[in-house]
Amino acid sequence: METKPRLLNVLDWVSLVLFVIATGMVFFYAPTEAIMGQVQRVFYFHVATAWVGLLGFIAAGLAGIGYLRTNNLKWDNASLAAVEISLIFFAVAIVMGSIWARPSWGTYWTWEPRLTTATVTELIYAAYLLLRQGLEDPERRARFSAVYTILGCISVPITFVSIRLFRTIHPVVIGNADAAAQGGFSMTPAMFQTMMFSVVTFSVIFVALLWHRIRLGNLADKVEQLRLKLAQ
Amino acid sequence: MAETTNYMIAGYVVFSIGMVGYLLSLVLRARSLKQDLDVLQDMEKKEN
Repeated sequence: METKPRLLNVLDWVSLVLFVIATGMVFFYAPTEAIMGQVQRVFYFHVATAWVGLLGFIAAGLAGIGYLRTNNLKWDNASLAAVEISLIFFAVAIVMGSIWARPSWGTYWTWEPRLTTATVTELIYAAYLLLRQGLEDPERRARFSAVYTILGCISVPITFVSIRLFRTIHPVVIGNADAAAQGGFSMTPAMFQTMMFSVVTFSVIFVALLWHRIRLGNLADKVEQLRLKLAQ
Repeated sequence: MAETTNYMIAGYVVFSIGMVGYLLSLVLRARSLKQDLDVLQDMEKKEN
């Protein structure tokens, strides 16, 4: 593997420092919510991981456009990296939300609009990874994947606005909540700052992870090319 | 105020497993690929 760029080293350290501060804010700076109690602290990283999940799916779509415009396989590598990271973050967000829902809604799961659209989005991108494995020709796989990630992007705004379009029990923390929402709360300035800091922190972590994952993809390509060369 | 500390702990355990697991998978895959690359480069040298 190429020598690790200095900027990536800096990004790793910045990510670590921001993460430590964000964790400190979640547990020691943000006040305990009056009704839900300690479980409300799950909210900060739940929002941040969900944000990164959706951000990565959009990044994958943009990389897909990049591939279709240039036919450069580096875009395909970037798209795959973004989807892989986002799948992990989004799955964590869904499970954390489900754990929060148990004491708030009395159930771990209900098929309300946000949970349903989030699950569909996660499955769309899980299928992307499976479908990629069925295509051996790199050019064909990249073209197919690019179109798939661009179309898959449609699920992102649907997931985001679902709690604003439909009557749902999922709280809308920013903006007007539906009367049916359960578990909503008024954010104090400290809560809002903690949430925004967590979102920024996880965005930086996403960029660092994306860079690492792209480098891993480049290394895998190098190994594959050498293997093919030796097989000839 | 409801006593919900266990749910908070469960939430952050899930978070930790997800993040540490993914970081570990990146490290292990990179290590495995580096080993493969070393072996292949040795083979290439021997062929030349």
